[in-house]
Amino acid sequence: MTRRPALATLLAGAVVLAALLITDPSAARVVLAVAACLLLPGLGWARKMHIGDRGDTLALAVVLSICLTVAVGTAMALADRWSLGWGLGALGLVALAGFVPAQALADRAAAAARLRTAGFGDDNGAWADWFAETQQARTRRGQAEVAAREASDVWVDWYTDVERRAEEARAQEAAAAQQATDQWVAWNQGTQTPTHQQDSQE
Amino acid sequence: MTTAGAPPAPAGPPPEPPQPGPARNGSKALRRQPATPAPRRPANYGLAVIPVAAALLWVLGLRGADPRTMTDLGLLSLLSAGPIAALVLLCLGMLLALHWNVAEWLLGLHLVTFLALIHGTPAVLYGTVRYAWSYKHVGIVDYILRTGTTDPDIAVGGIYHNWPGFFAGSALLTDAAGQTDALAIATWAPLAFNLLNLLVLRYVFRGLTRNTRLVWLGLWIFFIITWVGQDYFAPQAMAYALYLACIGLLLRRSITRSVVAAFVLVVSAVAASHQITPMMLFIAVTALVLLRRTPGWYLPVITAGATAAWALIAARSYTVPGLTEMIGSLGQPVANAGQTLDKAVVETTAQLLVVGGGRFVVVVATAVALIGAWRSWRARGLGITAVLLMALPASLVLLTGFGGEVLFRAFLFAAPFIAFLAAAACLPRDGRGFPVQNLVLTSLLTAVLLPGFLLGYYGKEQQNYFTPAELQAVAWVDEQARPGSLLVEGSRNYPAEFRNYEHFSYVRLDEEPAEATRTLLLDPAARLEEWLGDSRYTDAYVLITRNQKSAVNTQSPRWSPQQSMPYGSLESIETALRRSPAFRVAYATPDATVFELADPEGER
Repeated sequence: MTRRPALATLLAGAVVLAALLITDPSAARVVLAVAACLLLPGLGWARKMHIGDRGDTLALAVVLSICLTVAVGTAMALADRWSLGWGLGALGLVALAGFVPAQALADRAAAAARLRTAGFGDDNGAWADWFAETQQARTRRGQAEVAAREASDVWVDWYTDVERRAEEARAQEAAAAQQATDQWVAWNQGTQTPTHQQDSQE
Repeated sequence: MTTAGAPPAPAGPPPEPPQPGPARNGSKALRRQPATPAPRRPANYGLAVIPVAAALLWVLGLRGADPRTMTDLGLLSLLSAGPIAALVLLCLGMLLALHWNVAEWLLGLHLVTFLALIHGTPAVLYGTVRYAWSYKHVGIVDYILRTGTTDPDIAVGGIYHNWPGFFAGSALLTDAAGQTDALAIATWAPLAFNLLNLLVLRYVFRGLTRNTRLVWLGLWIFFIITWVGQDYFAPQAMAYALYLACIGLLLRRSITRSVVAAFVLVVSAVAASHQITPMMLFIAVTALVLLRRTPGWYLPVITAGATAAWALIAARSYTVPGLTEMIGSLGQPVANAGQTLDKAVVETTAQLLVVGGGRFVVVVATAVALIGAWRSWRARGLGITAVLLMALPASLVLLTGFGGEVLFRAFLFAAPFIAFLAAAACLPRDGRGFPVQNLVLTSLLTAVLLPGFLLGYYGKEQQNYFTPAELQAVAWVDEQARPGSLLVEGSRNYPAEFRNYEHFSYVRLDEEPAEATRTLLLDPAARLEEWLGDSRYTDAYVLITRNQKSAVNTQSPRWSPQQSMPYGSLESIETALRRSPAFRVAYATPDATVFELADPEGER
């Protein structure tokens, strides 16, 4: 999602929620509960799957959220430890974990640890520049992987289509060529016959 | 040397098609590149008016409609010219939107409006939850909210306590929403589940094709053929969406670690929530892996492992005693299918129309889907995956009767792929464009399927609708009775067991053996006095409601030793109890009466 539609969606959501809070607080609570249980827990994780399409991401976000809500609810019920606070807390933690760029943080921590062990001192921002570059490279790599996957799909579809059309064209050309050959042979036979007849008469 | 007048010499083979080169323009250019030549997408915002106009017509046409006046045709009997015009308008809008290849949000707007009208109308019109079974499920959520746990060994509704996933999740949602019970959530569940299916199915279809038109036409056909009312507040509705999501995950070309993690989570949720869906999921995943439609030999192992682990560990108190029955139903397709067909009640012309309408939709849609599969095979683009997923659910009939619902479930699991292949039959052979002749054909197909869908989906609403007065009486009994009470009900078809359900032992008059029914009808007051006077029960009530009478009267001509009572039995029992000095009316509304013994202590 680009920034402008995302911002517009957020703003529209906030306005609707504010209106509900003023007119019917219980309805606002229902909306918030639905978002907290059926959308947010899986949203971050669905985004991490880099599906590319917003509709697909939303579908997976809702599906994962439902599963997480079921998992938390079932765990509490089976353990005989029902608590709304703990349930929502667990879902909140899972949701937050989905939005945390864990890989980037792990990379950063690993890089920092490496630098410390190497005993680097003040490097006038060289480390920060290097780290920013590695992060950009990682992002580019990720984007390239997604693009390559999509490109592969596109290519396969496109090539299948081209191949089929070429096959049809070849068949048509072959039929036309055969027809032309037949016509040419017929014409040739037509032009040869009088000569033979003339020869035999001579 | 060519001679004048001679035809040209035979030509050589045509040049080879150009080969696609490596990506040069980076990821953005590739992402924008369509599989087929760039589709024409006119910004036809005028089409957005159609759903709005249809919604207005629908609302105006149904204003003041009284669900109590429904006939044997169910909600269809309340549809006047306005709502029908709204549906026609919406169908035209959807098909024109496909013809003009407009933006996806416009197609989505049409479908969401259709779903809102069809599945939201009962919620608005009735003001109560539809389907008797929904109330039982609300009762399980109520149990979890009150006790904070489940009881796998409970006498009534044990199956729900052994597969509590859906109920526990719903309880958490209900609690978070600040509701005392799940009735409000259950009222809107059919609409919510259908919207969820829309999202998930789009994801599934996009795994089968990149043709946007095929995706949306498939979605349209799916929603006008799924008349099987399995979208109410129930575990199977949720498990169905999760099943489709699993299939969607596997239809992607690469199975990454995150996909496997999501798959494990979804399979676990399904295994903890429902009994038949994991079986279907296992069959589908195994077939997809064996036929190399998806990589990952371990996926069927995960599915089987999660299902078996839940059934044999968490749900052992239900699974182990039921194993014999399960094994007994294996390999009996005719008997299993017969259970579903036997359920259909056809006594009047209207009921015949309702049953016939649903079956007609199945037959027509499957026939068109087979044409689609054949055409797809001829064009060397055979969606073998779709054909496979359409055919596999039939195997369920070999495994179980599932309480007389297996044919419904099999159709439901096949429906997305029937719709997808039927959509393929409606589009040109090469999948390009949506010319006028295809538009006309698709319109005809819609015109044939939609009435059947409406008959199948809305035709049984007379039984599915419960009045607020009926609900009020049931709520009174549920609140009033102490644990260990006896509740004698006319039949199962009423808003039963939605609050404090474990407080009761239930006796259903229409499920009594024929001999007991005969004795009861000879002298209802004396017999019921005997039952209610049993000292084992703390309190005892007889509850007779409007819908119970309707259910008994509908079933009555099929009277058999196993089933039902003669026509008018509940009316005569009610009259007898009103006249008897041994009974008094404990609570009454215009649609329900609760009786109790006039002197309960004396009787015991």
